[in-house]
Amino acid sequence: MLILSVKRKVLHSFLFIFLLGYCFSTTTQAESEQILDEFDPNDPAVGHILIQPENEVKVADLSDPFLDDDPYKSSVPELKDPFESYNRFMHKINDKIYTNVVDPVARKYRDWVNEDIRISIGNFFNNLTSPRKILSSLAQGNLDKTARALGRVIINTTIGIGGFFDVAEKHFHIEDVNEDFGQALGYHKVPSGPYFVIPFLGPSTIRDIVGRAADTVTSFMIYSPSFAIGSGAFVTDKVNNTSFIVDDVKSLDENTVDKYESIRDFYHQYREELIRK
Amino acid sequence: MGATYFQLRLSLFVVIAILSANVSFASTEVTGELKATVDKAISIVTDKKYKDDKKSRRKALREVIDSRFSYEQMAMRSLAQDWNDRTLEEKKHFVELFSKLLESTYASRIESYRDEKINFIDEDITGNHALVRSQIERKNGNIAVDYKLVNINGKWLIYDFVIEGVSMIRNYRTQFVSILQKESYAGLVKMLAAKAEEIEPATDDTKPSAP
Repeated sequence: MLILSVKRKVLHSFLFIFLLGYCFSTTTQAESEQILDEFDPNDPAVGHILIQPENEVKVADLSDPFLDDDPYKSSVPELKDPFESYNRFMHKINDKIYTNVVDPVARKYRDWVNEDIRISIGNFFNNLTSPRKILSSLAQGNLDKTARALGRVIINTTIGIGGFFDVAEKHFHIEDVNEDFGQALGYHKVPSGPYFVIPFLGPSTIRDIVGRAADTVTSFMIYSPSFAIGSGAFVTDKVNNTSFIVDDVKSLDENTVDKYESIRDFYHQYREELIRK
Repeated sequence: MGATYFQLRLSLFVVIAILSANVSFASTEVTGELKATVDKAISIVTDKKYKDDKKSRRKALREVIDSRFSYEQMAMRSLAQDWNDRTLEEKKHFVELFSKLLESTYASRIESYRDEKINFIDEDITGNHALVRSQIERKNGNIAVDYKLVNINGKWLIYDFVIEGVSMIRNYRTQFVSILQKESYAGLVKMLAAKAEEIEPATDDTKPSAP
């Protein structure tokens, strides 16, 4: 009950932030039409490389036909960042937590726990997110995804022994569904609103915070018998996921010039792509 | 979303971390050239003669990567409008610094490859541009990787990667635009130079990592 009441309070704060964010997003909507890929490829000055004119290097123009071609039909709109100073501050804190706690813990965990076991644990938690996938697919009127998510949870919970084995994918070739309420809002043309870095949880937008609040209702966290079990499961899930990608994240971070901007753009492009899918 | 965010970020550098590449469609020379590069990079990483000589291995890898990347295209597309405001010397310097960053990024990922497979799914050619779609099979899921190439003097060169919908060049452009808004072009170059220098010493002690 305590958890539920906390959740409710959190939900209310999110809704407040969303309304605030919506005001921002409506004022910036016209501007958001401005695409980031805005430089004109037909501009003759842009069209030719000048780097080695003495060698007469003939380089093609800078146009990109695939930006107007499926699957990149619509260029990703700009993601506004009116809370940048707060976001950068929170990014720094989250980054410190990731570097000093999450990264070393995930590495130790990876060394101790066999990969196949980690995959099974990942399957188990993924299976628990099925209600979110089913409902948000339904909210988009996507019957194929709804049926797939439903079929997968039935098969994996039974034949896959509580979700530890992804039998649905391996033997029935039913591809996984990656849907949540943030995507459902995006599908219904709700603008992303400004970028917002959530303490501990990382990059998000106002739209995704609202989506996340709705996802929480379907999450195993609030139906777990106790707070300890719920949060223990949450941490295990996060550490398990991170154990697969800890080196990749490190490499990526090492090769950014402005890490904050890189993460912000990564998050935005990825979410927009998921909505398109 | 925290986890998904990390999952998406992983994918960028898995691109060339490939053990074997399969082509499952009637491909043209675009995919053929790309596959040849990937195979060459893998053969270097798996070559026992480089096992104790990481410096030479990195040198060999660089040659392979350099032959398939159009650093000029990547630099131009990342700087966008700001490219035109630069002098010839500035452009050359920028490409040189940026190429170190891109090159090191990919080399370090190839060196830590895992037992992954890449399947080239299809390709789409429009004039002198090509989009090759591929999928990396990992034990815990597949990753979509699209290569964008441009034909320059008869050779297909990569100018962007799009992984799970995330364009690498757009990502760099966002970073550069933000830096240019807050600092000068000189400031950006200074940051790039610092980064290139920071990356360089890592060359000697890069080691393959466990999955």
